[in-house]
Amino acid sequence: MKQSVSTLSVKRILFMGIVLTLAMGACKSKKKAVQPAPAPAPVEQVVEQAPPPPPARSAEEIAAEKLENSFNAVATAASLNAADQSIQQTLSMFSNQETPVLIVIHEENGIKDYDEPTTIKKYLEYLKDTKKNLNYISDIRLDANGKVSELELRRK
Amino acid sequence: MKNKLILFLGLFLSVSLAAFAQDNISPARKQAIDSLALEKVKDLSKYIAIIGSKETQFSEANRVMDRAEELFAPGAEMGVSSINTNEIAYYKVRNYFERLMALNYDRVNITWYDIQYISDLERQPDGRYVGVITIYQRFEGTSIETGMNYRDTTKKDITIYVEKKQTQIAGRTIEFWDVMLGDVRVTETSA
Repeated sequence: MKQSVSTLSVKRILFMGIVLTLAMGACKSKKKAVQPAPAPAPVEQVVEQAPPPPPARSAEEIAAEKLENSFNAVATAASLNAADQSIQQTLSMFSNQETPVLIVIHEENGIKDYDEPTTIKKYLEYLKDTKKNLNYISDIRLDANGKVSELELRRK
Repeated sequence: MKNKLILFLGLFLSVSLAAFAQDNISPARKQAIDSLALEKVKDLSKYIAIIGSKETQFSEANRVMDRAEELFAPGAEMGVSSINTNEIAYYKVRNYFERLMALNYDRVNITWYDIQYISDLERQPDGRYVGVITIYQRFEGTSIETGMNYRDTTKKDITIYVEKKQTQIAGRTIEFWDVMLGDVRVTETSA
């Protein structure tokens, strides 16, 4: 009887051991199931940066662009009146009607070859009469009032 | 005596080198001067069309005459021909422009074409460059009342003078190429 009791306790211990083992296993698997997914590889974050603002344009650059448009408007005017209107508007950008206009026809080794210097009034009339705008603005100077005081053009 | 000879040779070489340096214009630079002169003749063709057109107002024609006259050397003459006569008349350019403006037609159309060099600009001993540009002029005059139409094509040769000059602009000395048109000679006239 004593032997059967010890056998029973051994069986009980064995059973409890199995139950404990199973319980631990279950716990372990459960733990594995709720384990968070491995952290994703760090992705390089691309932060879209706004392009740097363009450098502020100088008064000379703004005047040159406006003048280029005015020259084209005079040369391609549909009528004499339209050309004359464009001429008057353009002249208001200059110190006076006699503002010199230099036209560089060639440059070599830093030496510039010029056409005969003219005035802005004559140059605008030239654009109106010949209907051709062969030159672009290569240098422009403004006076204290922001009016064009000297203009250098160059053959396109 | 020997020293004098060396001095003379030195002077001669200096003068020769200076002359060579002036002559020595690069092809690109020469091309720019050629183009400048050719452009002046093309400008003249536009001015003549405006002056001759009956649609041009009197004041506008006079303004354009001033611009056209500035293209010419003082005293330059323009040849005028007709298919009705063998004679060629020559007028001072201002007089020619005024006669052109006053032509007795209701409609006048003048166009220049085939504008090109027949004699390249060549440097002369006086430092000027001289060349000849030829043009073809198509003239069409129409009179509505009389129904009179006149048309001709004239070949004309224009002598070109180019000279380097200086001027003062805002206190700076500017060297520029002065292009002057000389006489315009009629060489052919056809219907």
